[in-house]
Amino acid sequence: MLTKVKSFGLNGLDGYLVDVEVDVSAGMPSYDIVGLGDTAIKESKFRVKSAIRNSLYQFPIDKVTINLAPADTKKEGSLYDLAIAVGILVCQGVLDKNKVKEFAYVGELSLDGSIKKVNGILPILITAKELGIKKVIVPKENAFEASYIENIEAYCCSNIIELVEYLQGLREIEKIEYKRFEDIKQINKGQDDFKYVKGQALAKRALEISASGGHNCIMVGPPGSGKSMLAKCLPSILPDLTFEEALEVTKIHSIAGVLDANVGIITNRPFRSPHHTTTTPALVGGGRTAKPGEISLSHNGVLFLDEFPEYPRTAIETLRQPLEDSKISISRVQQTIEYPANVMLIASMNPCPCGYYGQGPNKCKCTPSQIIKYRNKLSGPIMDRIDLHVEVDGVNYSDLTSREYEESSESIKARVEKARNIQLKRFANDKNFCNAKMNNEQIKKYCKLDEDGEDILKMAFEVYDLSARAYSRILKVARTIADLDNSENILVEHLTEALQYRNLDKKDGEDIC
Amino acid sequence: MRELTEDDYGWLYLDSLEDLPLSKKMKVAINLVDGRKVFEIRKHINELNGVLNEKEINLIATSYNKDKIDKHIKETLKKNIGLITYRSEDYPEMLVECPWPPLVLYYVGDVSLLKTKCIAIIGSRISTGYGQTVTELFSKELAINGFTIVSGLAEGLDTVAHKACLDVKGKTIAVLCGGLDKIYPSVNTNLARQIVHSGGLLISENRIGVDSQRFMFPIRNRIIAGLCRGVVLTEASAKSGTRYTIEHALDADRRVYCVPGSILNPRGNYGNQLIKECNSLLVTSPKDVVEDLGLKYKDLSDYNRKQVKADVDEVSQIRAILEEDEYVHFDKILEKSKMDTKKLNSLLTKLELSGIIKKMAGNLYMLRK
Repeated sequence: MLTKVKSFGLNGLDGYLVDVEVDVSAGMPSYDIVGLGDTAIKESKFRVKSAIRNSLYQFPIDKVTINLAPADTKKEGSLYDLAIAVGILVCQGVLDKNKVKEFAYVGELSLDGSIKKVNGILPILITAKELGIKKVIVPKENAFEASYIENIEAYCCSNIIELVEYLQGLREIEKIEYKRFEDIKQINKGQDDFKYVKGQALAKRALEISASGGHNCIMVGPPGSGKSMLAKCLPSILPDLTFEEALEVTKIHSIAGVLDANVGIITNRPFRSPHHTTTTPALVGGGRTAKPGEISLSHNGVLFLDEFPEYPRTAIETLRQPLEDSKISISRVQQTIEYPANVMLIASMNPCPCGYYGQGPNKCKCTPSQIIKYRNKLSGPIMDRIDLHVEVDGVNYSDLTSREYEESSESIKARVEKARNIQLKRFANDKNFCNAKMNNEQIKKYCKLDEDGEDILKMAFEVYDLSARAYSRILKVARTIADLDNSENILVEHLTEALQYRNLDKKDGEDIC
Repeated sequence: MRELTEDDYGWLYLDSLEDLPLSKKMKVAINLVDGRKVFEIRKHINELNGVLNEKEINLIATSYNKDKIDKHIKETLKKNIGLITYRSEDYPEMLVECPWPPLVLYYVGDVSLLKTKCIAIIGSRISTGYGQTVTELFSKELAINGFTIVSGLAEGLDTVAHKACLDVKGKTIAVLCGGLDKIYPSVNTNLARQIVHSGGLLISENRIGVDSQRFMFPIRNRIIAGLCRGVVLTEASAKSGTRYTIEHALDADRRVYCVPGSILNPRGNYGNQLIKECNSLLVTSPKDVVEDLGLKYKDLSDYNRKQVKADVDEVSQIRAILEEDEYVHFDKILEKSKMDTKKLNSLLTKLELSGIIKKMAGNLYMLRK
């Protein structure tokens, strides 16, 4: 007897329909799974067999063949277990063929028959919705993740017996209720806030600018100056995630298996800070199965690389293309997968090898060539992609204990959102949506300077000895500052402020920073 | 380059003798005066005043090999490096007078600079903002007053001196330690190139291929001191290598000028010590130096930068805040001026562009003058 049961596979960020075909026919007892499955799928026959037996149903003593169609696509993971079990139970006559057809099934089985959670539920449900499949059975542990898709009936159950009895019409199982993203968002507000950061006016301003224009930023400062703390607060001034953005982010996290099962969706902009011992594939994605890396996990959020020069050079250099294109395609022999990677890169570094350059006389013992060597660890092309350089320095005791009022993230965020809205209008007909991603043509069009501005920029190039590549970045940052000021043109004030954030561009090793 | 004479070969030969100590070579040179005499050393034993012992005389008399020297000259010229010898036309008088003249000088650039009026500006490698500002000021103004700025191309204040001089299109000489094909420190390779391009000069007494080694720097420093009419010490700690330059300068009867440093900061100690103990002159402006050398001082004002338009009241407010201390932190200026961050940021850039203030590492600002 032949049965078809619907299930889903994952390819990168997208799901696709997989027909699980189960054939039980007379012959020598055997049990085979075909359809390019990986080891987890090959092993699924043991899980399925035990799960069915331990749930006190009969496992056929016949020739059992299972095909995962389309048969020419590599499949992986344990999420087909449930569909296989259901197919076998149909062949056994336990379940009604027509009733089973109404649903798609996703879940991993345990030997005792309970259904365990799987990765990638969100993209699967999105695919189901697109394909017009109305009803899906998911593991109970994935219930939260499954609750944000409208117009789809997702049911969850925790073991096979429950499911069988439901399909036989003997009982009801929980239907997952649709939750509105906006409600969830309110509950899960982040904790970090700029009002807890004392002093550091310059750095805060720089981060405000980089949040407004989507600029990458590098903070240079001695150990313990609060670079990480500032970076952590950054998501709190970024505009809220829209539902579409949240879904995108959640999809990636779901596939990587790092989603918090108790919330089920990412509500805050991600903040990822991989340690500097990270490997290149961990940073950009890859491995045999082309998993998303940190840069994709921080999609629509902040990728914070602390102690930037300590990262392996190769790892840093691989960031070039994704920082430019906001996506990364990972090619392996068997597949090429494109992950989104629209991140704000916030990096931090010490000003010199000992870390105390510029912190008062006699503190730093590094020679100029040591300092230059240290800074040269960061290549030109990478520094090219970082628009703002800001110096963060040690906080005095009086700053720490002062009770003075510091501006809260909320009021900074209001300004950031205003500036972003201006940019959205400006780039309504373009592909990009923030100043940082302007190309040369757009810079020419949107960053016009008046005569005074041209004069000052020319002077700055002479005085600061700026490199040519600094030019467009100064203009981009000036554009964002003008947007924050709600000014249509870039004025001298905006330009001169933008010039403050170019410390590392000065050519000589002398008074950089 | 001009034809090499027998005289040149004599000095080159003497210089190439590795077994003869440098001090003896120099004494031989001072006593013989003519390079040709080196080949007939035995005939001129009387003129040597007993500088050499019999073994050394024997060494000089027997180991001459013209091919070896020709090969060396060919290799040097191939790298576009020129050479002058003691007593040749381009060799500066200032060095001839010295008790320890280099026998051969290798050079890249405009060799005639050696005969212009030179002044050395020296300082230590690790410096404070004060030292950098002072060095910059002296280098610029002295260059504008027609001096050729001589320094050692080392990191730190030497680099600042060379760069400041190039900034005002002045001429500068870098006296290197190792061979001219190996610029040391290598981070300054670009600077060396700029110096040559702007009509400056690199010189070294060491032949190509010689690495700079620690012990050679004090020896090199005698050339810096010897070339110049005066030596300006802008900032150095008591352990700095500049003290050799100063010693040589005092030895050769050059003027030594010291810019006083803070008594609290060990980085400026050496200058203060010199002022206190030795016969060196305390200078507080480049004018002092120019006038001490009996020249008329030319003002820098023609070379001042363009000013950026800024609100006069705000500028004087910032000035007043910066006058209170040597360095003032951004946050402190912010607090005292009661401006907001963006406005202050913009204003500080304007002031920096106008050359009124200098931004230091660690968000510190200082007044330039």
